[in-house]
Amino acid sequence: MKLSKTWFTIFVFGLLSLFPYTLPSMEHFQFLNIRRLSAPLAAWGPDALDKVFVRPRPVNAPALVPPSAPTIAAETEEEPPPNSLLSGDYVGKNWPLQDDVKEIVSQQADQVSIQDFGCGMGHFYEALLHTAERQPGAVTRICHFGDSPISGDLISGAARTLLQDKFGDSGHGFIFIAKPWDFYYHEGIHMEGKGWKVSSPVLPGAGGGSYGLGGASFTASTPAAYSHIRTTSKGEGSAVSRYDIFYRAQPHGGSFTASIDKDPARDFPTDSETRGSAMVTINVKDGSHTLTITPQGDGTVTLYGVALERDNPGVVYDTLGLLGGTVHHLTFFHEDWIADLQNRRPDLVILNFGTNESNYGYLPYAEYIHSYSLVIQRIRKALPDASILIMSPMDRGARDDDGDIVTIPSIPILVAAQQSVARAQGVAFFNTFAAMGGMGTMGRWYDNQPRLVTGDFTHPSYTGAAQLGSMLVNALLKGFEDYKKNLGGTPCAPPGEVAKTTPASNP
Amino acid sequence: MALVEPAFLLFALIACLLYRCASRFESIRPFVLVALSLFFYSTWNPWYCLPITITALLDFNTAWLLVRTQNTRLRSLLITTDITLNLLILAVFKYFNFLLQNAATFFSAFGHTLPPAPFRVVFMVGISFYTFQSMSYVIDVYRGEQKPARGFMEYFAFVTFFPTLLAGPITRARVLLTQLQQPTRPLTDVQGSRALMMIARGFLKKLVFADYLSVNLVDRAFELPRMFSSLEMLIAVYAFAVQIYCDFSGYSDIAIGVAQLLGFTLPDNFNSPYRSESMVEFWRRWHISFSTWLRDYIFFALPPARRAKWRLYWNTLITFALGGIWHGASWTFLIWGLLHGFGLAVNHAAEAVWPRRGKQIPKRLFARMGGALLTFHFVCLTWIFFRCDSLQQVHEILIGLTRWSTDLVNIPWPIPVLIGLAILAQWWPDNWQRWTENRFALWPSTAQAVALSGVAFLIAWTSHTAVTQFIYFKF
Repeated sequence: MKLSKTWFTIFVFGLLSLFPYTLPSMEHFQFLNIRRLSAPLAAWGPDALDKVFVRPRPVNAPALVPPSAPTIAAETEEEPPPNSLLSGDYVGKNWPLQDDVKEIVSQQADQVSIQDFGCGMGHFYEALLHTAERQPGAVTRICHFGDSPISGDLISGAARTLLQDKFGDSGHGFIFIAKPWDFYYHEGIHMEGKGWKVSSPVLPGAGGGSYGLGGASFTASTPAAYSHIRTTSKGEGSAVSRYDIFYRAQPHGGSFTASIDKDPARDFPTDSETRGSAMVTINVKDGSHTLTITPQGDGTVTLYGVALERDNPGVVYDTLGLLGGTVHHLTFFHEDWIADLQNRRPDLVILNFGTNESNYGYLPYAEYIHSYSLVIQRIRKALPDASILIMSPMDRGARDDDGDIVTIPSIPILVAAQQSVARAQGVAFFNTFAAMGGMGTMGRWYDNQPRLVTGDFTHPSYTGAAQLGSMLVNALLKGFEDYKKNLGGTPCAPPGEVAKTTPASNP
Repeated sequence: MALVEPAFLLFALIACLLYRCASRFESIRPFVLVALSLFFYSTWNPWYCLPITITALLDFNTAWLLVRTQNTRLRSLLITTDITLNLLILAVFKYFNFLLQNAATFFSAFGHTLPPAPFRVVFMVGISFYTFQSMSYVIDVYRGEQKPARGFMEYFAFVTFFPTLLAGPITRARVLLTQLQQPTRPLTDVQGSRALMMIARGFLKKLVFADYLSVNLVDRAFELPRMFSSLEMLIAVYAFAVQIYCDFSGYSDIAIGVAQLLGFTLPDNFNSPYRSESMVEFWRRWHISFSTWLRDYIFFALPPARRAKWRLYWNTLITFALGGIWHGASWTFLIWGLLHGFGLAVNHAAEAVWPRRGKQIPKRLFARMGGALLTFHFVCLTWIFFRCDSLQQVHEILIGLTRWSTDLVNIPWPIPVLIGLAILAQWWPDNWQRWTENRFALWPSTAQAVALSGVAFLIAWTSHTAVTQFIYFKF
């Protein structure tokens, strides 16, 4: 039989397609994933009918894992956990967290509460008690550092609303003066900024340097740059009575003008003999306002952000998310960050990272522990009394070869690592991963109606974020109730021994 | 097995070779095609083969009875029963969860609580398409417009035809069944080259354009609209318009190309829809197999509008409302259909008020551009309803669009480039496209293979993300 032209073309095309497989440098041009060739046959499993008529499962059901996913939820003493999860490439050999990972993945959602390893939450609860009693000037401040879900005010926005509904609204807290990156948002604020050069360790080309509280700086030297920050005209989050503008004081620094609504603009010089973070305050009548900031053009102006507050008792919740951020990024922040932290005087600092670390092909375990410990030490040095809470990453999913959404193996390891840091450093810990439902949560949240996560199986939807915010607030309120019950009685009893297993590195 | 998976390429190649070999033996040809198609469908779930077999048996036997019955009443009873049963099967596998959910809401309004459903039915990919395809055969036989199939396997091969099984094009019996009844012709160089070009174009549209826009903007913008400025939301809506076009027409290109390699010529499903100057023209260019199905089997089945003009508009609304519901059990799809019905009704009304005075007078350029712009933006507005899972989400996006903020921080540079290229390509003249196809057919095999490999390497290089599912697999 004569081979027709078309079939000959296909044959030559087939040969050419194999070329990228012969050279490692051509890996990016391999368009046939050989490993996936047999994937379609997986549909012929004995559970095929169960995939047509699916039994419903509650959203935060106890950990259920698809059969193909690595699981240790159901492991027993006799059956050792699979290596892929416990000692695979992600952390290397001989790492000390095997037992902790078992504990993490077997924890039931309804058992999750704040684990206060060092009894350090007392300061926050005490501040909250004063606020609840409506004592004059009793503002409880929370600084929530995190990655993209926090940058988008997804979890923090829901937590802020819940806490302010219960204890009072003392303002929006710290926000940037313009969008430093995509996925930045603050609930109830309309923001527009143009002409600023943004620097941050999470942006390309940035390294060491001075960054303010939020981890980004905005620099401009011409009046063409501007920022409008407007609160919503009515309803929740509309009112503000004080603006604290954070900027970098520096030699030969220029001036900027700030105006509220249509009031005459006021000038603020940033020129100073020494270099460092500084703050100016503008008091306004409590209500909805628009703040406009513009450099005057007489020199370089670097701004860090602005805090919107009110004087009445209540809660202020600073959203301090870094897009693509990891706890390692916080180690880049030095004097200005510490100065701003001291200016903000938070009663509770939440460290909520891990999602981006889960992308690493390999987790340098000792360095990771070191970074966390270093950041905690710095916060302690800046704010000796403040409570510190490590909030674990959420579940994160990926499709396996069968198309099922399963937890990526690095997540429980990171949660366990963070728990061990909290234990070693004597700070509080909240296991978000377990509170959501543990292994396989993203699959269940994605299938839920309405969807609780977005299609990347990483970020919560608005509804999912509201659930996560509610989980955090409920855990904080439960701790608060326990604190009130024990006032004047037994002091906080830390769960388990402090520094049980983890050799935290010396910061 | 999705059409953009590597496994499908391998399967399609083997299937084409097997079918071409089997086509020498007329009697076993349909058996081979059915076996290949059922194997393909079972890679989604082997149980999916049961309802499609029931549907095919039902429609084949109904048609068989229809041609042997002259009694009008009996024929009416047969066709009514057949359509009812077809829709019942479709309802069970497509609308069961929606109906149950709404029943629970309805009863809860009166203080009754329904017990939770013991299970939910997972949507069966392809069921909407093959049900419509099979139903059209029975209706055509009932109307006397189609000769019945010669045997069940021949008919079953028509219903399960794997290139079109998952998401169409909804192919009529007079197109596909007729070709199944004729001997397979050898593939000409022009046909083969065109098939390969269409498959490559389909992959390019899906994996480079649609997936890039989906992953890098559309999904985030529609799921978390508060993160985006009004201008970014507007770009996201344009991006979705391009995404859904590239996604669905890309799928159709692959399906038509593979069918051509098997020896079947299928009609085009898309014809540069975003250059339409009116809604009527849009539906002549968009998802042509679906719009002609709606026209022939719903619109023409409704009471005619010879006397009352309003009936024409009403029928259009009804037809497109049903077309919306066909896409899925959701209020957003219903509103999408109603909006298109409304747009078409307004279009018809405008043509009635300002009739065209012959085609000799060409429209002025600005009028044509204005018509195209207006049509494109109206279609984009309706895509918002199509893309959103709930009316709450639609509300969020409409609010976002009207905030009048102009930040562009969320838009990486390839997004406007891809949108611009895709929109510009709509105005690519048809004769240029034919010229390109003919020139490609003249190239030697090696040059063709190098060109196709170039496309494949480009796709591999640009698609860093996991392949996302075809949008129209949901319907």
